[in-house]
Amino acid sequence: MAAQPHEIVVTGVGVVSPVGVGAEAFWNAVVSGTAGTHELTLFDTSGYHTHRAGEVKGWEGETDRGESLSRSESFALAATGMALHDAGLLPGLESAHDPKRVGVCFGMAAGNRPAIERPLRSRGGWSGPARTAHDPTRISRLVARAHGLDGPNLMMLTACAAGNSAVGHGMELIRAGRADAMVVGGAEELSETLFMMFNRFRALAPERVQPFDRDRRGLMLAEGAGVLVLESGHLAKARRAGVYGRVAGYGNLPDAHDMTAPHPGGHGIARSMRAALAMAGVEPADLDYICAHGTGTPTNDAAEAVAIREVLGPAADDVPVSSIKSMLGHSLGAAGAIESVACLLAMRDGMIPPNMHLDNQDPRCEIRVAANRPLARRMDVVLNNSFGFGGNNSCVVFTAREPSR
Amino acid sequence: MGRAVITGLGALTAAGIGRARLLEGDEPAARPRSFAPCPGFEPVDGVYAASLPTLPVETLLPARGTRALSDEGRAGLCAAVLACREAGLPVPTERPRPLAGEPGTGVALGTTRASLDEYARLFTEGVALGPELVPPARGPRAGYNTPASELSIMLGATGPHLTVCSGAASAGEAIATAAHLVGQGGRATAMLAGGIDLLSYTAVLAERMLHPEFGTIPEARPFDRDRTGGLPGEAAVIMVLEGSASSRPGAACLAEVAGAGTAFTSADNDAGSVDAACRAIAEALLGAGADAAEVDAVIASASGSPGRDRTEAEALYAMFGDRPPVCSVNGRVGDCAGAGTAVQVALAVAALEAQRLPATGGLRVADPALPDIRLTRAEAARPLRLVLTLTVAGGGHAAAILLSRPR
Repeated sequence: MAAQPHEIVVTGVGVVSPVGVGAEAFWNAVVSGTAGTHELTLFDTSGYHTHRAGEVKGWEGETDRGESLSRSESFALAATGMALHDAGLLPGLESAHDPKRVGVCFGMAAGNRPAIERPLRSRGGWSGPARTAHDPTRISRLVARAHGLDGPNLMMLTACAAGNSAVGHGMELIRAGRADAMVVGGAEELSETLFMMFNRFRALAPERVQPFDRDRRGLMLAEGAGVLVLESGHLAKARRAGVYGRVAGYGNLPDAHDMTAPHPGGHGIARSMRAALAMAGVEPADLDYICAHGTGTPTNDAAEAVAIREVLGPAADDVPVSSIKSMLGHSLGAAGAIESVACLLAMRDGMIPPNMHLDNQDPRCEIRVAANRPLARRMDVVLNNSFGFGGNNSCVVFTAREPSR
Repeated sequence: MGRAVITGLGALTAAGIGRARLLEGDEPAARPRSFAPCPGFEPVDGVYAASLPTLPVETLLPARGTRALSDEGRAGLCAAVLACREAGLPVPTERPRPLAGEPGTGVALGTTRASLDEYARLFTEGVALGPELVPPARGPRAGYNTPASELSIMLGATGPHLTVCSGAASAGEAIATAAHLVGQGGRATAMLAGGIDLLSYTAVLAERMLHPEFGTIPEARPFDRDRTGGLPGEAAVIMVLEGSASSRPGAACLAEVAGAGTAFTSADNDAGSVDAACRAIAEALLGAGADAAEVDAVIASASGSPGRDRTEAEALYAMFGDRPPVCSVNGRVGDCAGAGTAVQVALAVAALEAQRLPATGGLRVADPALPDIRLTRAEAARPLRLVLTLTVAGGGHAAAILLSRPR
């Protein structure tokens, strides 16, 4: 199949997650319904109502020129290495692309900021990652410096929608001719400040995450990184790169409603979904799978379900929806990128990951949830939803390189 | 890049309220400043900074719904309301009401520090008081996205929405993206674009961990032989960008964003930074279909930093030689971090309107070790048609925005 004009393809993926490090380990765990949320060990939770999160256990971390890195920086570097290797660009990036035409775009919510918590607690000792935790560009710069990437370099700071924002923005930069390839993704580390905030809001689930369940009690915070290598289709074809799929559409329209609560009618979500589908040139009924934001909070899941029903209409009865946050927890600015990888691997294997812990579907969530076990299905068009505080919404459409219909 | 025009601009800087204030005076605006500490911490006093004036909140903002805003959000909203009023866009007196129909007015902001202080206070108050006594309003204000989200909520801006960071070039990235969105296929009816960065207790504490001289230098001297460092600044600058094809009644074009370029180097050296700055300029010129010889003046980002000023001078000389006049007002308004490019664009618009360039405030003796660029010494009238802003950031980022007089 000939490459299309402005075709942007994904040629490599990498993941660091609470259920597995490496895209295949992550994917095998997700498809088998493995939960990565456990008792937190990174900080003392005895003063809080809840004690569990999606922690990347046993992480050794990395250093940069002898300096220790924050966990999010380290996750980002590791996942990028995996993605570039998977794309066949490590080694060999310089022979495939002009490094000045290869950029980096990452999303984060708090990102490396939690590294200031240690000196703030101890009232001193600003050493190691704390010294640079006020600089949000650390992640994109470290990734670029590690691989000599001199193309566009920026961070998307759109709260929990940031991972998807990075994927969408990276695609837009290639489409606009500003880059030939982009390393895009999201990285996040567990933040006690945000744990404190969500505890204060009573928004954290104590035992398990149950997206779209009638009795869902909230989200669980998590950490990790997801990275995708995006390339201009004709350049990927010229170097005979393996292709996971296309990034075909992106919508980032806000709720403009409230700093914490989503619009109850899902207006911004629905508009973002429609914008992404329109850019991709596909109809809502063409969707084969929706990877939901599905945090497990009462308000978010309800708003997302309303929006899906509004956009898909009767097709919402047929299009499977699942949230892998039921297993991973919510890794905030990394979530959209990790879930983007899940979308691509789902298309590759024809396997929809399960929405775990769904005991009784909330009757207000009138969607077809792929509950508790994976669902085999050939997929050509999938939609990834990510939303965040302040009404940030980012929706990305992936399509198969070789459509079946 | 499609054509985008600026139809309104609100600028809050240490020079005052409004872009015209950026053209006036040449004296450094540094004043020693104190910051209220986080619980359990020592105050920080005597920080030399170029600070915002008192915001005209009562005259600009709706009475309801603004008290809970973050400091950055309140400053950004003041700037946005000024910009909307100038552009003739309706400003809701009570929140929220959509600014325009589909695809809507969007928000693109650059920042490096947004909500850092809220994040630190949320944590330290939680540690000091216990998690249950943390004021719940702090939580939503603790994210980088807070100012942009507060703008969209308060103004009913439902178009494309993003907060970006590329260091001191952040606002340049935001403006370039916004110009693309309004200029290409009408992805947005209009965009509120710019940058917001304020100084805070935590920002000073954190900056001093890497740069102990932060806020200790009373006079910043851009491009000067005796420069020793920059003056911390703060700003909120928002502009209304619309497609040039727009013929909205009441819309007056202040300036056209003729071209925009951003670039980055992964090389941690001067040569790499000069190259990135040159690439950003080249991209802006290419987008405008303009030649370097057509640029009438450059608004530089030089703030008195020995290294960054040198990088910028070398890039400007490489691209333009000693021809166009170059000025910087960062000696007066300070280094405004992620809002820096937006401040420069505001000055460029003011310069195009007034056909005048300001003095390079704080410059006494041009550094003879720098390339021989043509630095402005005093405010002077000049014929200006194309003005370039160049922002060189410390981490390898650069942004260039080329502005032209309205056609």
